[in-house]
Amino acid sequence: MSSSTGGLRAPAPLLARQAERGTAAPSAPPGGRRRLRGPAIQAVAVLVLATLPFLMSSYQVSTMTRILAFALLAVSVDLLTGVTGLPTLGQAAYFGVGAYAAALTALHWTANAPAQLLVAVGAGLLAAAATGWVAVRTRGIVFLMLTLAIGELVHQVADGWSFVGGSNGLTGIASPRLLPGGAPITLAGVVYWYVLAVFVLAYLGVRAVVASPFGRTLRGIRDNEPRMRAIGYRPAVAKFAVYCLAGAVAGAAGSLWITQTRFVSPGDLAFEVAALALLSVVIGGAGSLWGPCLGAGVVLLTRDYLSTYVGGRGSLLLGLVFIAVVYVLPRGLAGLGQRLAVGRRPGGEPRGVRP
Amino acid sequence: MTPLLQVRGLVAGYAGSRVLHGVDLDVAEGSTVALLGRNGVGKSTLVAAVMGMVRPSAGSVVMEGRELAGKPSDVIARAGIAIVPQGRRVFAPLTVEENLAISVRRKRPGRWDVPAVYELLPRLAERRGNRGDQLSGGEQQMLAIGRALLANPRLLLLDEPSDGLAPAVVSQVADVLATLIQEGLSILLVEQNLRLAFQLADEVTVMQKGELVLRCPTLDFRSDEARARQLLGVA
Repeated sequence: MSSSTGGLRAPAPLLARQAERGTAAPSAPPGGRRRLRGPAIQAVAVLVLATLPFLMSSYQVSTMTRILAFALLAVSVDLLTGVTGLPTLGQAAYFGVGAYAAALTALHWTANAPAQLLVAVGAGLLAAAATGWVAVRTRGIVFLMLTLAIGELVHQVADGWSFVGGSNGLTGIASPRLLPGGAPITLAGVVYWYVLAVFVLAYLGVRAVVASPFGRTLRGIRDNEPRMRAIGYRPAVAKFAVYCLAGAVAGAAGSLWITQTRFVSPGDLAFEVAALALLSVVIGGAGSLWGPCLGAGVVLLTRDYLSTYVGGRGSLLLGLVFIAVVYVLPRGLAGLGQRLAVGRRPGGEPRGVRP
Repeated sequence: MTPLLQVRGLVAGYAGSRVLHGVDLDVAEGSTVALLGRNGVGKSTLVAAVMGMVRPSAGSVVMEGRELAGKPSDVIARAGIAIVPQGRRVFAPLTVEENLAISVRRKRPGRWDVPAVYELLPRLAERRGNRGDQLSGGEQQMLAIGRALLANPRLLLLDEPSDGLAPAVVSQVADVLATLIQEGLSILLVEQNLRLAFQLADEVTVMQKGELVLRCPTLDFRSDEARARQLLGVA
């Protein structure tokens, strides 16, 4: 039986290996101290993030805002790739759908950012629901290729549809407002705080899902889908549900992106975005959710910031970072954290039977 | 009386090779049937085909009057069949507790829930926080049995539960299975360990080259060593 189980996991042995570690961590040890440490670190991280506008230039704060939005996209990719074991190149599509939906809402209806966010979440969810059913009946390379096709399809639509500006995209988006009738926010720091707040809520929501019985089902599917079916689950249903959820999260990320850039073009849902999001997950450590957020930071900073020092060859630099991570940190940045936290676990735990 | 499970003319195999050439097999309600045979005769394939993990190309699998051949294994699981697969196949990255929790099917309540499994298999309760791949082979076997029970099956398929276990652990597994049999669970037991099979089964069936060649009460089979040696290559 094992041959039918393992065959198509191929594209992502690294992801699978990372993921096994990653999601075991939040729920694993019943011991008290470690359970407390995670939330404490996260609270400190949020506090530090919240103080950044006082310490940085407005350009840097804008960069951080975009990183947060991109990190949320990476979380949605991790939900599929790390938690459920479905390597995807399609999340840029729902990110883009969310971005376009938010932009259209801003142009034609309201500058209210939370309203744009809700529309974007709904649009991402619907787009994922409309396209996902085909994809979730597969896994492995086939899933990867189908999501790639979905991404390219949506990209083509955005590129050719004059209603959404064609290849020029949508410009002239007004500054967002947080409250109906409130003043437009122009300060980069305030935009950042709004994006940070949404990011934290969405992140905690995804975390709660992963820790729930449904999350356990997803990890079971990642580990051994035929086995889940033999227990009586219909994996395609759970996969479809998580695909829709990931679409909604990506849509939210797209809306946050627009809130900062106030411009959207087909480039925002191009293959490059999907690839960078998946790269963030690999660099950060698949399955941990927080690792990919760090990975998103590394990826965007390397591409947009460090690349100015190497004559704009950001992609080359990213490639080198990727290779370095694969060799030095096979479990990504999250694995580094675990290694430091546990201290003594030289070669990792023994790997048991894996079908 | 029609048996709980009735397999007729089952043909199945893998890409390019036919393994089962029309197998007939019955498991009566409350009975334990041992499925014996040398390596490679198709025992595991038969069990996998009953569970829908290998798609049969012909024949029928009827459970309580319901045709299941060709159905996906989630449907078959809901029809009341559970499998303890060869090699255990527990979810390695999940803890014991998660392995069990994941197996609870709310729509199929019954005798078995997680506390009941812990009561039957106290070793699992001690190791509930450990990951699947941190367990010993025997513990993994217990976990696989517990996981199957949580589906509250009418029929349990066991594929070589003694495989790779120390004799002392095999006897623990045997005790657990004996308890289940006493409770009236119907079992189809694929086993190479004849002592275990003889100890548990009411009826012995033997496969050869993808066909069932013998079916008789356990006592009759045990009393005829020459035949056992001829069919199985062992005494």
